[in-house]
Amino acid sequence: MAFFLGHYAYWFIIALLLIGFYAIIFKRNLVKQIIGLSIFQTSIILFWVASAVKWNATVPIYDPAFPLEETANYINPLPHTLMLTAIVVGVATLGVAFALLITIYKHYKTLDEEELIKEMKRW
Amino acid sequence: MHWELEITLLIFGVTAAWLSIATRSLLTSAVTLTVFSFLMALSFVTMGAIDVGFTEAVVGAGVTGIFIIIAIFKTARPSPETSGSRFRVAKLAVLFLFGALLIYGSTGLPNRGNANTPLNHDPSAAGTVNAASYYIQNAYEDAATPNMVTVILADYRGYDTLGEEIVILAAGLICFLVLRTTRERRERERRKSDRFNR
Repeated sequence: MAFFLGHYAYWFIIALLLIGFYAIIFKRNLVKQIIGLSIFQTSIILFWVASAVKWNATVPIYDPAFPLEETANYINPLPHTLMLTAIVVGVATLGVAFALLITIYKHYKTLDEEELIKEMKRW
Repeated sequence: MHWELEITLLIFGVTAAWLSIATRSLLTSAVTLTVFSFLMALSFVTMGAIDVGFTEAVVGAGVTGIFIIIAIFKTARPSPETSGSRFRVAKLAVLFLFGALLIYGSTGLPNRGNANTPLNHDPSAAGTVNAASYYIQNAYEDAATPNMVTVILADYRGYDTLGEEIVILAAGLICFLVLRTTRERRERERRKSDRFNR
């Protein structure tokens, strides 16, 4: 039971990673592939946040009721900070991906991977 | 912090993620992805990461959904999804191997929630003060701000945040440069489409 409680979040994260990876390699529409990429990324953020948890600890905001000397009172704030940066950068790069997608559509009039490969060979 | 609530949210999240991949309509897919992002924001808050949950709700759910919907409408009618990709067996094998490797790796991870894991242990494996413990103990004293995540983001790791801003600026510039239409380019596009139609 202790093993289950300590690991169930990781198994959900693995399920999400596999869903994202499935979309990236199996789907032919480029929009679907980027959605898969987004799911993959969110699951990695979830991994960092999930591993920062301490049972019976409070959120990392100073509360005089919980002494600072005992670090087990507060959840680890460092992964949260790193993931805050990762979310914002992820959305910025997603914007670039969609800009490229729109340009690809303008040039080739399709977003289907197989058709795109055919068109590229023709030009 | 409450494992029953966490499991419920994670089951909903995995379902939403699967629906957004499995559905045929791209618009439904975008909306379901927004639902997924909100569920993830709720799980982050349940796991005690309130700042991450807030950012995910605003940036992850809001802005990503808007981006996808703009992209779908800019690319005319979304073509109906054609199924069947090449190298199916090889791809399935890669997917299966990836999943098996991850599950094998996850059994080697320490139980989460324990204050004695290498991530939270003090002193760290190198014998120095664990960074997270240092931040917890000194953040309020150093910056007089109760929120430790804010102190780390803006004070201790300010250069990280500066780098992040540079990435966002670069991404904005790239979007602008890729999507702008000059008169010269419009001419070229028209000539090209004439040739295409003939």
